[in-house]
Amino acid sequence: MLKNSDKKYFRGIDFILVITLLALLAASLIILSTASINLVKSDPYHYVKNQAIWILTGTFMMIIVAAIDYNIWKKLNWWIYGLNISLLLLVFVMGSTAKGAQRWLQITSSIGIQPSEFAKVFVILTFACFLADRRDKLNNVKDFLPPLLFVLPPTILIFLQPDLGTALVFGAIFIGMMFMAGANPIKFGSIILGTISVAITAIYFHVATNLPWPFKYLEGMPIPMKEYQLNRLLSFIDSTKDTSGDGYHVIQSVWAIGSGGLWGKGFREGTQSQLNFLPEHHTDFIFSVLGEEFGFIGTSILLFIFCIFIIRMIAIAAKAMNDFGMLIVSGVVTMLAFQILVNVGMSSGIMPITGLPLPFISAGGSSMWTNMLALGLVISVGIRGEKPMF
Amino acid sequence: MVQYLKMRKRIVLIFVLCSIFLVILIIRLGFVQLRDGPFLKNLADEEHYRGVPVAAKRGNIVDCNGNILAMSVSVDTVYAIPAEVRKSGKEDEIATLLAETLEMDKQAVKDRITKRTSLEYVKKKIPTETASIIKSMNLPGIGIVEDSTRFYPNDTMAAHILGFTGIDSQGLEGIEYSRDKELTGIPGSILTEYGANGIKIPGGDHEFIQPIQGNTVQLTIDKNIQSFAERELGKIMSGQGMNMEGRIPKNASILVMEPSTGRMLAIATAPTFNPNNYQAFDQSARRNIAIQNGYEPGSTFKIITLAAALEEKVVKTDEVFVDKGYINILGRNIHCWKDGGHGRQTMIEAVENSCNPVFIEMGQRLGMDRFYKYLTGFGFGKKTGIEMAGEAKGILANKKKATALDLATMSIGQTNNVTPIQLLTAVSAVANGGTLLEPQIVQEITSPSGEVIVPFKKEVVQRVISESTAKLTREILESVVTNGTGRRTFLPGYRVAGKTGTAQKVGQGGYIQGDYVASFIGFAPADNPRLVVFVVMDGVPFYGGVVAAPVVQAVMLDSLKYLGVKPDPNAPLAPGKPLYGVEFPAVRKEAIVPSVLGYPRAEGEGILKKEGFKVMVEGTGTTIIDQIPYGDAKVEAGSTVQLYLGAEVGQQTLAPWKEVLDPDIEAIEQFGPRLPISMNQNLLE
Repeated sequence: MLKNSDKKYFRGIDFILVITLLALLAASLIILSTASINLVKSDPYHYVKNQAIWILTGTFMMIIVAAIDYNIWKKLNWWIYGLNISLLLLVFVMGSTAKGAQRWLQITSSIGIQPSEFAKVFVILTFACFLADRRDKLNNVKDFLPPLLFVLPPTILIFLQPDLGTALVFGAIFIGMMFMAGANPIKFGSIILGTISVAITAIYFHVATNLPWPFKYLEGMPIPMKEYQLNRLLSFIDSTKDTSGDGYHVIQSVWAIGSGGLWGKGFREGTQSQLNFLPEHHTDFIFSVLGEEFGFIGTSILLFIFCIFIIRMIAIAAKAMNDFGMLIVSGVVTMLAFQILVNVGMSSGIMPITGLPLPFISAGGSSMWTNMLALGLVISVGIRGEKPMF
Repeated sequence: MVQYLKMRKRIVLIFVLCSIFLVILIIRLGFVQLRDGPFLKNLADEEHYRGVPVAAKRGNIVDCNGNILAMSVSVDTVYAIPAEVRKSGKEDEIATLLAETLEMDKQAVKDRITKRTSLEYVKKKIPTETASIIKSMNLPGIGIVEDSTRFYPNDTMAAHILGFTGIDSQGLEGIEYSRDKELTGIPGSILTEYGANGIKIPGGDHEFIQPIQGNTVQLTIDKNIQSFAERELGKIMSGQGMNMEGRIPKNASILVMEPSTGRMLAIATAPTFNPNNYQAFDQSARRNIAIQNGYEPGSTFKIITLAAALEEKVVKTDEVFVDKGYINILGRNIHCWKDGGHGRQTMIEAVENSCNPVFIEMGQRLGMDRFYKYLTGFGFGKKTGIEMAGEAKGILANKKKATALDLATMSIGQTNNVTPIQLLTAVSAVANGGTLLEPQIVQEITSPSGEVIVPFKKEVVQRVISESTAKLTREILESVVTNGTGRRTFLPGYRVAGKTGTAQKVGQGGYIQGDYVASFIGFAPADNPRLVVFVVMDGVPFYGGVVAAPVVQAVMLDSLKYLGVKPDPNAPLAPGKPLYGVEFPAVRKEAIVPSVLGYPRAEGEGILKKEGFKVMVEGTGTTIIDQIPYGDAKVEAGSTVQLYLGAEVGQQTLAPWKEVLDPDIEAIEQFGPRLPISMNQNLLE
C-alpha cells in the first residue's frame, strides 16, 4: 500500500524522461551486441551481459537515489566532498594503470571502478550545494574565486591521472552551474573566454615553429599536458598528418560513420568495426558503430532521443523546488550534453579525441552507474518539484 | 519574480545552446554520411579488402596474316600474406620448404614471407608444375595466383620490332613498349576480406574480378618476308654472304616496304637478340640500327639527286655529258672512279655508271636552294615517324654554311647523315609515284572480341615529285639494274630497278679507306612497285653492287613469288641494253642456255656464242665458276649470259673487289683529311 505522498511522488515522475532513458538503454544493448561481438572470442556477449548487469544495478541505484529527498545531501555536503577527494587520491596510491593513465581502483581482479566517473556526480552534488548559498552573490570577479577553489582540487587530481577528457567535463560543469547560479554573464563570460584564449595561445606557442621575433622566444613554451594528449587534441585539425597514431582513430571513425550512408550497412555488417579497424568501438567510438551499421537514420534517431532526454531534464530544472535542485539538474544536463557533444563530435571528426564515453550507450560500469546516479538525482528533484513553470 | 525571470531566461538559453549543438552534430553527420558516404565507403572497402592481383593476359602481337609473333603463356606466381605466415608460427618450416621447391635462398624467402607488408610476392612466373607442388603443401599464408609470361615462339625473329617485356609483363622496348597500353589489358584481382591485424576473415567475402585481356596488335610485318630477310642476314652474319670472302660485317639491316602504303613488310637487323631471354644479350645487340643509326649513304642517295634534277628539268635523259675523269669544284678536282673518265655518255648511261662528275653537275645545276628543298622534301633531317623508339633524325649540313664543294659531295650521297629508314622512305616516294609516306608498322589493333579498335591508316606526308618524274626516275633506275651497276639484282622475268651504294665511313680526321657501308636499294616491278628492298651492311671492304645487290635479289625474288606477283612477259630475261622509254619487244624465241660451268673461259664463251648468246665476263681466272642464267634455263634467244671466272670450280667468292674495278667506287678518296660537315661540330647549328 503506497502512502499518499508516495503516490504523489510517483505521479510526479517524468514518464517521457523514463521512456527515453529506456530507449537509450535498449539502444546501448543493441549496439553493444554488434560492437563487442568480436572482442571476447569465448563469449561474444560478454560485454552485453556485463552492460546488462550495470544497467540493472544502476537502475536500482537510480531508484534509491530518486526516492531519497535530495535535500538530505545538503547536510552531508562536506562528507561527500571529502569522500570524493579521498577516492581520487586513492587512485594515485593504489590505482591500476591502463593505457598510460591511472584511473582505476581494482575491486576484484576483473572488476574495477573509476573514481573519476563518480567524481562527476559528487562534484555536481556538492557544487550545487555550495552555489545554492551564493545565489546573487556572484556579481564580482572576486566572487568567482571561492567556487573555483571548490571545484579545482578534484579537477586537478583528475587532470593529473591524467584524464584530460573528464577534467574538461568538470570545466563544463563548472561553467554551466556557475551560469545557472546567476554569475554575472559579462564578467564570467569574459573570464571564461580569456582562459580559453590563453590556453589556445599557449598550445600554439608550444607547437609553433619559425615565429618572427620576438615571438620566437616563446616557441616550445611548456604547457602542463602530455604530448599524446596534445597530439590527440591537434589530430582532429589535420587527421591526415598521422594516419597510424591518433589521426588513425579519427580517420577510421569518420570512414566508419561515412560508409554507413543513409541506411547503414546493416546489423553486424559494419566492416570497420567488425574487422577491428575501428579502435575502442565498444566504448569511446561506439557512436561510429551506430553510424556504420544503421546509417544517418540511426544516428539521427539516437541524437533525437538524446535531445528529448536533455529537454525533459531542462524542464525539470525549471520546475525545481529550490536552487539546490535546479543546480543539480543543471550540472547533470551540462555533464551529459557536453559528453554527448564531445563524443559525437569526436566520432564524426569535428572535435578532438578526449576519450569520453557516450552516456548510457558506451560499455562501462562506472560510467553507467554515474549516469544512473545522476539521473536518480534529477528524478528526485523532478518528483519534488513545486514551482509552476512554463 | 525578477529572480524567477532571470532564471527562466537562462534555462531557455541552455535549451537553445543544446539545440544548436544538436543541429551542428546533425549537419556534420549529414555531410559525412550523406554527402561523403559513398566516397568513404570506398576507402573503407579498400582497407579491408585485400586484392591479390590477377594479371590480365597480355595481347598477342601478330604479323599481317595473323601469325603469332609474341604471345602470353600461363605461369604462376607465389605470394605470401606475411601476417598469416607469422600467425602460423611456422615461418622457418615454410621458408625451408619454399626455398627448396623454388630453388631460392632460405633466408631470402624467410625475409620475404615475414615482411611487414600486406602482400608479398615470393617468386614470380614459376612453371605450373612447381606451383601445383606448392599448392599441395598447403602452407599457411602462402598462395598461388595465375600470371602470364611473354613467349616469342620464333625466338629472334623480328626481335627489334617486337622488343620485350620485363618481369611484370611491362613492355620495355619495341612494339611491346610503344603499344604497352593497348597490350596490357586491365588486371583483375581476387579480393579477400581481411581484418585490421592482417588475418584473413574466416568465411569472409571473396570476390573475383575478372581481368580484361589485352588487345591484339597486328603488325604490317609479313612473317614470311621477314624470314626471307632474316635468312639472308643470317648468311651474311655467318660468313656465307655472296662475294664476301667469308667476311662478316659489323652489322647489317634488310628493310622491305610496300611503297604504295608505307607498310613495313620486314625490318631485319643483325646482330640481333632473343627476346625470350634478352638479358643474355649485349645491350648493343638490342639496338635497331636501321632506325637508330645514321650513316652517309653514298650512291644510293643519287636517286634523290636524280629525281630532283629531273623534276626541276635541269637535265634531259638524252643529254650527253663528257666525263673527262674529274670535275673541278672551287678549285678542287673531284675525280671519277674510272681513270680517264667515262668519256661521252648520255645522262642515262651516266646513271648506269654511277658517274660521280655527272651527279655533281646535276647538283650544281640545281643549286643550294633547290637541292635543300628536295633534301627536306624527301624527309631527310627529320624523323620519319615510324613507331620505333629512339629513331635518329640524321644530320644535314647547315645550309647557310654549306659551300659548292659540300653541295658536290652531298649530290653523291656523302656529307649528310641519314638513317636507313629515311632513305627507304624517300626511295619509296619515287617508287609510288612521288608521295612521301610515313612508314607504318602497326596494321591494326583488335580487341579480344575481334573488334577493330585502331584501324590501319595510310599517312601521307607530302607530294615531293610529280607522277611523271617518278616514272622516269624508275625507268632509269631499272636501266641501272638491267645494264648498269645493279646488274647483280637482275631477276629474269621481273622488272627490277635499283641503285647501289658504297659509302665511305667517317673516322678520325676523314674518310676511312677499305671500310665501307655497302648498300643496295631496289624495287620491283619497276612499272608498279610492290616492294622496296633495302640492304645495308656496315664495315665491309666490299662494294654495294657486289655484296648487297645479290641479297636484294634473293629477298626480292622470294618475296615476289610469295606475294604471287606474276613475271612480266615484257620484262627482259637477261641483262641487256637500257630499257627506259622503249616498248619491250615481245619474246621472240625461246632458247635453252647451255651450262658452261667448269669450262675454261675461251671454250665456254665459244659454246655460248655458237648457240647465239651474247657473253659478258666478270672476274679473273681461267675457269668459269658461275653463270647467269644457269644452265637449262629457258631464255629469250640471243640474250646475254653473264659468266663469272675464278681459279677453280666450287670457289665461294666471285669477283673479288680488289681486282675488279666496280663502277660504284666512290671517287672522293682524294678529299684527304677534310672533315665532313656532319662530323664538324663548328658548322652545326
